[in-house]
Amino acid sequence: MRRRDFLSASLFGAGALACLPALRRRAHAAPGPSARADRVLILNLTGGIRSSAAVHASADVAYNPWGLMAGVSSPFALGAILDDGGAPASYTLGPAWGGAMVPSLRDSAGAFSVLGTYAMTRGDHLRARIEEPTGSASGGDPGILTRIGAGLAAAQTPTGAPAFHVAPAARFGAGLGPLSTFVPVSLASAASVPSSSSVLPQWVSDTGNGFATDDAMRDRLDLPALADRHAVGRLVTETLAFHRRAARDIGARLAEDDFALATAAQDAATLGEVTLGGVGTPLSNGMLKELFALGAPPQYQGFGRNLALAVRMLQIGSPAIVVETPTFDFHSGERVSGPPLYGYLGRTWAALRWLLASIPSGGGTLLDRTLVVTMSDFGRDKGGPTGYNGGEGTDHGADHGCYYLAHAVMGAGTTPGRLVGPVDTATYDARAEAIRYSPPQLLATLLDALGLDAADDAYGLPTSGGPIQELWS
Amino acid sequence: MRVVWTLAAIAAALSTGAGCGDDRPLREIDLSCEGMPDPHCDHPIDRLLVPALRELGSGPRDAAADELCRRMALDLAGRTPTPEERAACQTQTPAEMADVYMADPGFTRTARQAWAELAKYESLLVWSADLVDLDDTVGRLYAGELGYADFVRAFALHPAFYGLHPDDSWTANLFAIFLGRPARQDELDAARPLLQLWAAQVFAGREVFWNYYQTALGNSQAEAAATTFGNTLSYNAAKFSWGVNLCRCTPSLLSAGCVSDVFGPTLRIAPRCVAPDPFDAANLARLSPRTPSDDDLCPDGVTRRDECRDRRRGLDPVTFAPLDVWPELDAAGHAELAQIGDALVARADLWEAAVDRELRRLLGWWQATFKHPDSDLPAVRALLAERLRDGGSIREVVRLIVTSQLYVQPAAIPAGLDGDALPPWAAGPAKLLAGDRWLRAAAAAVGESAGTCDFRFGQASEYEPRWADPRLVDATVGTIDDVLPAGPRFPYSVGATQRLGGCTGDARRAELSDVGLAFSQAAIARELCAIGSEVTPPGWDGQLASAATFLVERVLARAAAPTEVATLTDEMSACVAAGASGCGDAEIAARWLCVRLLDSAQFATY
Repeated sequence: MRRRDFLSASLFGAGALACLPALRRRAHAAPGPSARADRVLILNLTGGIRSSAAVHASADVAYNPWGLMAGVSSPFALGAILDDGGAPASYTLGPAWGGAMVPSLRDSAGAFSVLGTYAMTRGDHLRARIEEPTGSASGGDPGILTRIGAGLAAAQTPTGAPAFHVAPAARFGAGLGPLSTFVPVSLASAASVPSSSSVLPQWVSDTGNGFATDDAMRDRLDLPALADRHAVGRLVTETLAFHRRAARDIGARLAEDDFALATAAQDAATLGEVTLGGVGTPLSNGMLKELFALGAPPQYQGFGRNLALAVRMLQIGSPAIVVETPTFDFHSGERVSGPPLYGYLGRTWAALRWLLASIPSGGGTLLDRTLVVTMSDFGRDKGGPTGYNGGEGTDHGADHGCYYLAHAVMGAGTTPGRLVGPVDTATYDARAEAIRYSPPQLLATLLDALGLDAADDAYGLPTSGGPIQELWS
Repeated sequence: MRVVWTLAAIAAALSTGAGCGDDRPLREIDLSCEGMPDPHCDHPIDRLLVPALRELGSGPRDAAADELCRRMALDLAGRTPTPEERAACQTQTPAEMADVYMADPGFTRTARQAWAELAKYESLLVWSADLVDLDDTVGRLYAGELGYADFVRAFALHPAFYGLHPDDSWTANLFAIFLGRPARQDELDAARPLLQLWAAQVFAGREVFWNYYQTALGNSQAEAAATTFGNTLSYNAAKFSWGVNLCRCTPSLLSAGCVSDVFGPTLRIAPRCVAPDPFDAANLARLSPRTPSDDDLCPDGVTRRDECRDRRRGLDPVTFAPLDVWPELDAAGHAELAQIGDALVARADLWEAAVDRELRRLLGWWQATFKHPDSDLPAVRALLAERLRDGGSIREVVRLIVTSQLYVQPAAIPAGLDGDALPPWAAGPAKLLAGDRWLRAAAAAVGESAGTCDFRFGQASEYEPRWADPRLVDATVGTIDDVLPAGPRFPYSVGATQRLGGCTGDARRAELSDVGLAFSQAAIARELCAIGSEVTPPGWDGQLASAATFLVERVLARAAAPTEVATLTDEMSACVAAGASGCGDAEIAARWLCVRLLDSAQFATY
């Protein structure tokens, strides 16, 4: 058995249980083949996207000054701003990809669905983040990644890697809370993985080459000194020790060349395959970087690299990943600076769908077992008659366009081409809709898709209203 | 049933409890300070706590000098003790130690950093000079120059605080920071008449443009792109100068004024118009004693420094709003607004929340109820809150806490007792070192120094720390920055601190470790031990045992036990025996042990 296979079979599942005895008895969830997904990928559109101009777009200029994408047939209207207007050549990959052409968002409109959620309370950026991926600074309100980690531990489900939060807009959810042990690995960027460490080979040899008589040696140094700590102090130190053990193991994996996406030296390193024209081709770092760099404005290339890292994380079996985008919080300057970001988002969503559907996994593709969704802090208010406020941007908090948020959804067997949780795009007031879904219900859906009990009172959201099964109907 | 170790509960336990080494039943023994005098009983908190500790069977205990010395140095001065300080600690009482570290310049700095995170300072949102003033106000509080009531009055109405948290966020943050709980929706609603007072005036942060511009070029963005985005960004980041207009609640409320009972008593801010038209700009007044000038927009003067002339960069420059100078609010206006601060300081929960905040910061477990149900001692809170309200200072509260049994006990549980069953106050605190404290402690342990990473007022992750006002950033470099590689934007120290959880004022720092932090600690430990100049004792004889003794003392700031040295020496010998795959020689073995010690839970907690 190779080291990485061993890790896949043992890490972050049962091992985590030892640190939280209270969760050991809560094994009534059933992740596995019967679950709809074994991974979730969240693109968190930081800062609050103008949802009314994106995947459930309005024809009203005040909500969407860029208009609608013409010639697209789907139950939801796509905003024209999501189309960066790139020529066909800008969708064509190089020789490593066999000159493949990446579909545009327009081409992909029937291949994903849109889910609308409506929040009943006014949020700010901080509160929205508590509701969605990250959790609160105190840890008292765990984020969805933490909940998933705790749920998988409760179900004693081994996974190949922990949950990852890439480019967090703020480091929440790692505070003091009952689920603190399961906080995700926070990485500032693709440059944060150990393969990008600045440790020189000389320094490694100067400090003993990581010598250890056995894997437990480092813990033996601490154990005698910490054994007599009070229970409260032990929780701090044991959590720390647990994370150190996990870091040693997953860190070794992330130090390998196929995770070195931040540098050019290991562009040839490969992991897994991608099917091109029916033929399997090893998927190299350079190919991943090329795909997400295609058509990327210079300022968003770092985000593209983070997406490439997320794909690698999916490949090694991380159950949940959040990648935060550059900020959509354009209180001003949206007219000029919005289109490059929205256009790249549209391009990225289509490229991601195409790639995940091309990576063989478990008899199907990676997309078959990965639920991919977009989230955001909230939507944005409608602008004035020109579509903007006085600073050529938009604000949030005073209009239904802020409270209603349209999420793009794909993968894990969700029915494509659907609009779930519709709303009148003239007002975005979902209060009168017969069926209205809330943001916590989307979180419950993610847990449920992984085979976890969304109503569990330790890690779930028992008051959410339950998962949104309509996505699969 | 939840057991709360209040004194009442202890009294109940006393009536039925068993003896503590005494043949008599416990209820027949007077465990009070009066019944069993003890020097600890002179301390007002310990006077309450000692009987309770005796009832548990442990009694008052003082941590070893090394343990308490490291704890106090880190909590109060934000750094580990120097070898000289550690030696001095051996003969100092806890009160003497506290006085040493509270006199350290790091004391007020540590408090300022804590408040920067509490209030979420951000110089992109408000005028930096206002933030500096707010920060100075915090410093005066912890220096004992400002009473807590006056501090609250100044803070609540400070233009920087309102600028950071306008509208409902002002109410929400007042409740969270000063009353220790989230505001309810009805309280947010009730505060809205007061929010109508505030007015904003925009002025431009051209230094922001310049910082961004340089960063963008440093990242190989074309000049045109850098200029366009720099302009956009500086427009986004245009700063607000906040003032008040005591007529803004008009015209609908012209006769009634702004009325709110959100903080308890009914506040009535009466309309007071200088100009007859309530919306006339002449009715606006500054709360801040300063007003932005051209020098604030560009410190060397717009006309004297090329880079400040953003228009010369071309490509659709943003036209910034001109500055109109508002008059400073007069005394009558201040008196009107002072009702808000007066209402806050009249509340009992304001003083209790202040005490809770310091207890949480210094003990870690205070009110962390998930960890242990006994994480709150109402009698201690009441005692400290009363002292604070009756004219005591925050500084005095801090000193009382760190000299009490809550703080000076060893982190180890009392011998023979079950640590899982004991309340958290039966042992000293154990907290996590993160961010710049971890880095500075680690660098000092290997004979080097790290730069501080104190972006109290800026976003280190986005911009270069080239702020106009030198008070806005304190990111000095240390000796490690001479050797270890700088990142694309920052010296090594700043980058390393960001890897360890962020700098003050940058991303909010993790209170507990996560795996990503553990990655960083392992890598940075290796880097520091590889380059450290004092990993072995001066004039080292090459003996592994002496290196192990030295490293335990330097890294963990305590004496090494003989058995511990023997174990570590054996492990170093094994590393040497492994040859090229382990430690090639004795010095490498010392550096290898250095990594293990720096990357240990013992080092990372205190």
